[in-house]
Amino acid sequence: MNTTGVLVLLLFAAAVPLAYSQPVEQPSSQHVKATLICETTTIQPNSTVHIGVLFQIEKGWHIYWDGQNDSGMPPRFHMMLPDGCTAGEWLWPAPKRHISPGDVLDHVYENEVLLILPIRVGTNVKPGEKIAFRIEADWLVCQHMCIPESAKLELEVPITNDRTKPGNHSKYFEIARTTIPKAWPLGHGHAAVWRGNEITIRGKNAESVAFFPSKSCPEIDNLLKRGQTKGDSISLHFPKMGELPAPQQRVTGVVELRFKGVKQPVYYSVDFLRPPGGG
Amino acid sequence: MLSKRFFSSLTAAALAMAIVGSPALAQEKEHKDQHKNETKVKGEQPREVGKKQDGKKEGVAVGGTAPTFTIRDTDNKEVSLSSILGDGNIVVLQWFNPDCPFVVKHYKETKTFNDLHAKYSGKKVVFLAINSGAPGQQGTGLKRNQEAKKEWSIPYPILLDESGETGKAYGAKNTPGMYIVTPDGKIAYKGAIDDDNSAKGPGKTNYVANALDEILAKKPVTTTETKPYGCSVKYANK
Repeated sequence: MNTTGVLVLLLFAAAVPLAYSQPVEQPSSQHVKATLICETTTIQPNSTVHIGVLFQIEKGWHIYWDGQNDSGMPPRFHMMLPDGCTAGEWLWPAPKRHISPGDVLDHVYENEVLLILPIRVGTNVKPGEKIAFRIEADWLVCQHMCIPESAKLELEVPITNDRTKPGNHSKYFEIARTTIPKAWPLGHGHAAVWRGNEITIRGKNAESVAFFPSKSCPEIDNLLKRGQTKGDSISLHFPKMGELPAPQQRVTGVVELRFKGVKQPVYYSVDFLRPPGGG
Repeated sequence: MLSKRFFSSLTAAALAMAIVGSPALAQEKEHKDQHKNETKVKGEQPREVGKKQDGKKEGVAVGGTAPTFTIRDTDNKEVSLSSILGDGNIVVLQWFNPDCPFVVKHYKETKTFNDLHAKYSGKKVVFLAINSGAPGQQGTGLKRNQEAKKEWSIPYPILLDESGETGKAYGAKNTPGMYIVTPDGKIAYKGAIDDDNSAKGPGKTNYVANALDEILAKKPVTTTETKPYGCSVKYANK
C-alpha cells in the first residue's frame, strides 16, 4: 500500500482481452470531469507504462498544483498496488499563478491538465489477461466558491507480448510533457547566484521569469510581487533562510522562462542548495 | 479507501453550497442597513486599512498588537474586541465561511471547533468567528450564517465583516485562519487550526489548543506561527 495518496490499483484476469485501452468514465461533478487514461493500447510484461488522470475543468474554475499555495488543496489519490507492480512519482505539469482578492496567491490549473503516473509492470503478468486500474481521487475546485469533488475511475489495459502502440489518448501525454518541468540545465548561459539570503536566477535571453515554490521551499519575501519579473532574471529573498538547518537551506520549485516570440514557456525543476555562509 | 460517510458528507456539503447566492431576505437587508459603516478597525499604528507599509506583508505579526474592531454578529449585537480583552479574556479569532469545505470539515465531521470551545469553557477564553466575505460571495449573508450557527450549534458569535476591513487588517487569507490574542492585546499565535490541511479528516496536532494550554499555564508559546490552510477569504473583487 502506498500511503502517499488515494488510488486503488487492482490486477485481475479477464476472459476476453480488449483491443485497446478502455477508460471507464464516471460522472464526478459539474465542474471537473476526471478520466483515467493510458498512453498505450497495451502493456508488455516487464515494462513501464504511463497512466494519468485527465482533469477537464469548467471554464472559470481551477484546481490546485501540488506546491505552495495560500489556499486550496491539490488533487489526492489513493493507491494500492498488486504484487509485481510499482508506482513512480506523480508528474505535475507547471501551474500558473492565480491571485484572488485579498492578495491570495495560488498556483493552479485551468481548462485541462493531465497528471501522469509511471507504473512499473513486473514479469508476473500474463499476456492474454488484462490489468485493471481503479482509482479513487478527490480534489478541490474553486471559482468564487470552493467545492470538493471526487471520482472513482477505472481503466482496463490488455497485456500482450507485442510492441505497444500509442493509444487514443496519447496526445494528452504529449501535451502534458511540454509543461512538465525538466531538470535545470547546467551551463547554457543560465545561472543561479546566491548573495546572503537572496538568490538570483537568470535565464539566458528570457523575456520574463517566474518562480513557483515547492511545498518544502522556505518562505519567500513578498512572493506575490516578486515571484514574477520582466527581464532575464528573478531575485528571491528568503528572510528566514539563515534560521534553518543547513540541509534545508535550499530553493526548490519550478522556474518558468518565457522568450520573445515563443508562445510556449520553458519550465525547469530546480533545487539550489545555499552554500555555507550564503555565497 | 474513501468511506461512504465521506462521500455522503461531500454531497451534503455540495447541497449546502447550492444555496449560496440565493436572494437576500428582507431581514437580511434590514440587517445590512444597520451594519453600514459598523466595522471599525484600529491597528497597531494609524494607517489606511488594506494599504501596505514599506512594501511589507499586509497583516499582523506575532507579538504585534491585534487590530481592534467592533462588528455586529448574526444576532445583531455589537461585538468589540477591546471590550472582551478589557475583561481579561484571551480571544481566539477564527475566519469563517460556512460553505468552505475546510470549515465544514471542522464543524460537521471532526467537531474540532465545538470541542475546542468546550475544552476551554470557563477558562476566560472567548471564541469569535469572523466572516469577511463580501455580499454575494460564497457563504455570506445573515441568513446563511444564522443557519450555520444553528445547524452546527456554534456556541460563540459569528461576526459579519462584509467590508473585509478587519480581515485585511489581520491579513487573513484563509478560512479557517486562526489568531490568538492575549488579554494585553498582543498576537500570540497565528496560522492553521491543526496539521491536517486536507478537506477531510482530523489533524493530529491542534496548534491552537497547544498555544492556549501554554498561555493558560503562563508559559511561552512554543509554536507561534504556522502556515494556514483552507479556502481563500472571499473578499470583494477589486
